[in-house]
Amino acid sequence: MKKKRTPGFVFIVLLVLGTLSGIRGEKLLASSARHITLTFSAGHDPSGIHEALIRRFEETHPDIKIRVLELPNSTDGQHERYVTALAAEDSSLDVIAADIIWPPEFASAGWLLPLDPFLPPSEQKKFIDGATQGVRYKGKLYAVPWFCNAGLLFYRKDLLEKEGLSPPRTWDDLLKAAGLLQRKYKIDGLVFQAARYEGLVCDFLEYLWGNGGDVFDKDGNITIDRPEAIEALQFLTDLIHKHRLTARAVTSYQEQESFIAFTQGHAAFLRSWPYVYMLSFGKDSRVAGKVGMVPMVYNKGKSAGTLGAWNLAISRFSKHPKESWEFIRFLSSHESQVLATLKGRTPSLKSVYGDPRIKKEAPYLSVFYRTLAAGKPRPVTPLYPKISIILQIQVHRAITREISPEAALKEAARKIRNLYNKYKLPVGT
Amino acid sequence: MDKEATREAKTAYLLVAPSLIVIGVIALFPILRSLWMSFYAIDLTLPQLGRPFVGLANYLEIFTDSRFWAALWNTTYFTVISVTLELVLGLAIAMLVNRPFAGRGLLRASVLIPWAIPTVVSAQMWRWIFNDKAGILGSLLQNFKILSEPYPWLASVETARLCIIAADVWKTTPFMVLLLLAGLQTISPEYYEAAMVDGATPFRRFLHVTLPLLKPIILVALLFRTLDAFRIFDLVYVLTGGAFKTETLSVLTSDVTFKCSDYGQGSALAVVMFCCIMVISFIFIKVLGAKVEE
Repeated sequence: MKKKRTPGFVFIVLLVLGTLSGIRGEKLLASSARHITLTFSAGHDPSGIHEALIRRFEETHPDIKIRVLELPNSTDGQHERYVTALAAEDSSLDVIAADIIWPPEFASAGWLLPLDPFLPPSEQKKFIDGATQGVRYKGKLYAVPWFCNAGLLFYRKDLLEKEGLSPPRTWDDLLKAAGLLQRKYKIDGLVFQAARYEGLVCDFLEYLWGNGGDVFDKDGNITIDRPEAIEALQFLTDLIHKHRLTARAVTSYQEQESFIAFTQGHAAFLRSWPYVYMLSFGKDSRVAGKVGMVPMVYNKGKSAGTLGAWNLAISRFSKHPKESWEFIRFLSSHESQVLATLKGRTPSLKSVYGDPRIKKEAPYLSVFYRTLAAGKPRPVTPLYPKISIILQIQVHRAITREISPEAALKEAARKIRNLYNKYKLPVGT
Repeated sequence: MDKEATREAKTAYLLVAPSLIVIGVIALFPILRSLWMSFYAIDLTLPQLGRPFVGLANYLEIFTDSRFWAALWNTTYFTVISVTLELVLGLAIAMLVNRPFAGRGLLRASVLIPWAIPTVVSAQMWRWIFNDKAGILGSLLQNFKILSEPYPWLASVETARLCIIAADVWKTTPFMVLLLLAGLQTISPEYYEAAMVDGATPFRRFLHVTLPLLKPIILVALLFRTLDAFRIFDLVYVLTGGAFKTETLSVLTSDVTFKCSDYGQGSALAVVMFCCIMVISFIFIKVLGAKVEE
């Protein structure tokens, strides 16, 4: 027994000693070099864009070092980490790469610095409008948009041309074109994200907005159970069950599944995000060069894609807000964004879309710009994560025909009202 | 003598103190803390609302929500079916590999592979196996003309829960095999010889020798697997996200706690789950007589 325990004990002693000496070493280094270390937390970046930009920043700012804190890939995983760290007022976070739906929530909790003192309104106007709208809370700006996405409709250019069809603009156009291609080529008319998760809400909102509806109106009423909303959900349900234009398993599809179905040539149309375009040229794709894209289809309202954006925010508990802003200003600058755009990102600064280098290298961005300019953020409220869960469940129940679209949205409205009552907040804020 | 005994008792307490402290800190404290939190409204993302005491409101909200009852039913359904299947398959495989044959060592080791793969990883693998277009299950069935067109395995109430059960059985049967095999090896061959002398058929030998002698191990294995199955999270999270009547208590608890940041209600759900697990353990240990101490 005694003999067995000794190595373990020695190991623990060494471990403790090692940690102590490590701490001492780090402190010594920091004090001798006289620079500030900022922590930049973001999801894994396989493109190498973060690394390249950070290297440039450190070259021009020798007094600031950037430590990258790599977070889980899933957005939910990142959200969880931020909530627990920020609720504990952890001062080790400085610059945060935030999904567009977080800033209102984090700002209402008092975890983010308002950025208006750093970025005057005249400068804010240089960014895509919907993107800055999504990261504002009670009139103040809490993050700077970095990269933007908006939902788009991708189509098989080759098939549409063969049939002499023009890309659809309205719901009816989509029904006709998808139906024709489905019958003729024995493929699915349309695939999208309809599993029970955040992506379903993004997809549903586009039909809702496209039919003139919304979750709330300007006066703080819940409008998710109004006729135009029920009609939108009915249309989505009918796409699957009445017109049978989608894969039967679409109600279990996330981005991955819908992407595979489309790029393997199993579907005529795909609703997804801009990344699909670049990846459709990949070596496993069967539709390289055959993909076109248009803004989302609409009915009684206007075409609107759901905005997804990554934004840069500063933690209220950061000890270096000024240096953090310096870093954000660099990352979101025209030059940095041009560099990142050439590597496949979609920029947030309007001026980047007009840059001659971009126009030459990435002409497809003009379509993205049109959709981003018309794009809308998801309901801007600190309660959004909770509202999203309600919508995910109720919309999914309707599109799997467990209950009618009307019953689903009435239930969603009731639950959203209860939510605002529970937290004693004015509806829609 | 007495003095000697008390001194020994003192030393004994001193010796077990570290483990008691560890148990207190990592097991007892979190449980009591969850219980305490379940009586408060705690939302980490809304610190401005404070942390008011709400009594049983969290529990009331849970018990009046049909989502909770559905999750409780789904969890029970899943636990009963998959643990039963795992027991039957596990026993059969354990009895097979208990016989001496060439390559037995290799087979025993390879049986463990599914169990060694992290569940999230194997869940992703199953998600693609069950994919309607690119999945191997569908294309095999179509090749053999059993199916004429892709079937939405993960997108129908009938099959989604079966997919999860299949993936779970695949993963945890090895655990059953391992435990039952250990039990089988403790049964002395003399019992079988005696039974054979009496002219018992293989079936009767199984029924009257193997089963009674294996009963203690079977109960312990069932207890472990039932508690484990009751907590199922990863497979559901990856395969369906809780849709198509597959939402389990763990998935619901994680949704409420982490996605909605409602730690008060999340704690209440955790306490309810804790109580369910207590009941299951009680039934196994007191009613069925599982001996976990040995």
